[in-house]
Parts: sequence; C-alpha cells; structure tokens
Amino acid sequence: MASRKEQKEQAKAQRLAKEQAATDRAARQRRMQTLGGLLAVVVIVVVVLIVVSSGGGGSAIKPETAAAKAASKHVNSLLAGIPESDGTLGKPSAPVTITEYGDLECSVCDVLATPSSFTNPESEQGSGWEDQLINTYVKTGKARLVFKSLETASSENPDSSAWVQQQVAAEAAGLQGKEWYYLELMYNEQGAEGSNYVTESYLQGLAKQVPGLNFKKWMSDRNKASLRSQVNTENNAGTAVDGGSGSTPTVVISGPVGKTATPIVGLPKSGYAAYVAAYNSVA
Amino acid sequence: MNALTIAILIVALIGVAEASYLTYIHYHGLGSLPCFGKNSGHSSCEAVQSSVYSKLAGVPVALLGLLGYVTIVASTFVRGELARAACFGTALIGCCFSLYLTYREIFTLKEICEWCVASACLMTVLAVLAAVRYLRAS
Repeated sequence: MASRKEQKEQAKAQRLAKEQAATDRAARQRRMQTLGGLLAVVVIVVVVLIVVSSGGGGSAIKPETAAAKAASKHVNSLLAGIPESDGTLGKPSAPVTITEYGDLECSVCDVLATPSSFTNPESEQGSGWEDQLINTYVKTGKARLVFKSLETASSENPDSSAWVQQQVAAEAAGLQGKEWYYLELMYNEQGAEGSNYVTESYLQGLAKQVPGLNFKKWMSDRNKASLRSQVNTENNAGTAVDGGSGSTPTVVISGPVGKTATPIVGLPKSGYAAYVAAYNSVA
Repeated sequence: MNALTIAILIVALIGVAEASYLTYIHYHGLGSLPCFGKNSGHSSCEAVQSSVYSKLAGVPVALLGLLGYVTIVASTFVRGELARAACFGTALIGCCFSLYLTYREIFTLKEICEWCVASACLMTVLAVLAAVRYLRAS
C-alpha cells in the first residue's frame, strides 16, 4: 500500500498531467482556430484575385462611343492629305518602301500602330512608332507604306473565319483608297486577342468611321474572290519573310537600288531608332 | 534557423530572382524573354505574359509574385507563430493563384509559359514546406 507521501505525489502528477492536457487542448484549439482563420483569409484573397483577373478581358471599342470617336479623330489627323492607291500609303514614286506584315488582331501590331496615349485591352501601351514613320517619311514623300496580311494572333480567334473577313474588309476599303484608314482604325479599336470580337457589326462599324468611304461599294467589294486570294497570297509570302519566323509585326524597309534592310521583327529593343537605322541603311 | 526554414528561404530566394527577372522583362520588352514555345508568331511566354491575365488591376502579376516571395523571405527571419502563419498564408495564396493562372494558360490561352510554370512549382513547394513548418512548430 502506498504511503501518504506517495499518494500525494501521485495526485500531484495526475493534476499536472491534467493541467498539461488542458493546456495542450487549449493550444490545439487555438492553433485550429488560427489555421481556420488563415485558410478563410487565403480563400477570400484567392477568390478576389481570380475575380479581378477574370475581369481583365475587354471587348472591342463600340463605334458610337467617345473612345471610338477619339480613335477616329486621331486616325483622320494622322492620314489626312496622304495619297493612297492599291493599299500603298504615300507617294507611289517615293524611293523607299516600308512594308508591314501585320495581323489586325495582333496586339503587338497594335502597339506598333497606336500612339503612346493608347492602351490596348492587353494593357499594352502604344509605341507611336508607326505614327512617327508616317509623319517623318511617308508624309514627306521619302517613303511609301505598304501593308501585307500575315496571320498570327487571329489564329487564336474562336471564329476561324474572322481572319479572312477582317483582312478582306481592309483590302476592300483599299479599293477606294482607304485601306490605311481601315487598318489604323481597327488597330486603334482592337479587342482582346482571342476574345471573338471581330463580328460583322464590328467590321461594318469600322467602315462607317472611314471618312468618304462608299459603304455600299465596300460591302459589295468584300465579296470579291480576288481579295481573298490576295490575303492568302500575302499570308504565304509573309511566312517566308525573316527565315520563316512568321511573326507580326514584321517591317521590311527596302531602298531604291534593291537594297533591303534586315527585317525588324516584333517590337525592336532599341525602339524607333531601329526603323530610322534601317531606313538610313537603304535610302 | 532550422533545416526546414533554410529550405523555405532558399526556395523563396530562387522565386525572388525569377520574379525580379520577369518584372524587369515586363517593363523592358517581353520579346527578349527566352522561351521554348512559339505559336502564331510570338513566343508562348510573350503571349502569356502580355495576356489579360498578366496583370491584376494594372499591376503585373510578376510584381505581385515578387512581393509574395519577398514576404516569405522576410517571414523566415521573424520568430513566432504569427510569422509562420504569414509565411504559410502567403505561400498558399501564391500557390492557389498560380494554379488558377496555369489553368488559364492551358485552357484559355492555350499557351504555356515555362517561367510561369516554374514559379507555380516554386510556390507549391513553398506552400508544402511552410505548411509543415507551421503545423510542426505549433
């Protein structure tokens, strides 16, 4: 039989064990509460992040909106007074030819074409470089600007017919000497890549913003098989430029004596200076 | 600093380096980003990093990732349950959001950015390590 002292020690040990167990239980409870709170915060933050991220996409600018009017005003002032024939902007006799291979849904082409005040649906800021090329070389008669179709971003469009539709729409405007108005307007009013924004009403909306365009003739010209064939021919030729990289925008600058500068693919790291250097190397 | 904390620190520092590079590239031209994939004329990394999912309310996701990694690094130098919880919470948020972005890459953009996948892996490893550290120490 345990002595009184042993009984006391046993009782003390039991009390301590109980206290320890209670402390552990309280700590575990506190830990679970903290963990639960932490997971709740994580879930809330992640849901907010996903909602904000999903809301990032955007549709194209609608023709009647203030943004479309601003884009139209910019394009009109950029191209006013510059002659255009057969899709060539500028004096046909200009000694240097600047050829842009582009896809009207390509957001990088959009960066090249739009002014620095413009931010596209991909949140990319315009470079203003094409505006500079037009103002410096095309308006002054030093160069002419040619656009050729090359499919890149349009292949991401769920509507696989959009590519030909949009490029033909621009070419049809070109039959009235307005291709560059159409191209510039579409770049300035572009929607997010792959967002299926190129609808018939979008294409018609752009045409209605082109000053002096005969809408009825434009609608009729869009049915011409020759324009579809032209888009396909340009696309095939475009894939061979720059060793078949098939990137847009690709800018090729060629001079009067058959000299051609190395194609500028994408957005050059040296910026607008790359175009100036290419021009100077062939002019 | 125990082995687990050192492991978290090392992985998070790799994340800091990667996110810093991607943030730099974001502001200095995505075209120079090395990438295996190429589709529709642009590298798949460029396509992902310039997509609508590359920014949150105008802030590049790469920069947010950098802030996350820096928070995790900082938390390893602070003692206490709160710091461990902050480390775990940040890593878990990063991991979950990275998984969402990877889903977007595969099913919406149909482009894979190796840099983004690498970061998602780092965040997943960090979330596991930070969870073990948090639960063990508690």
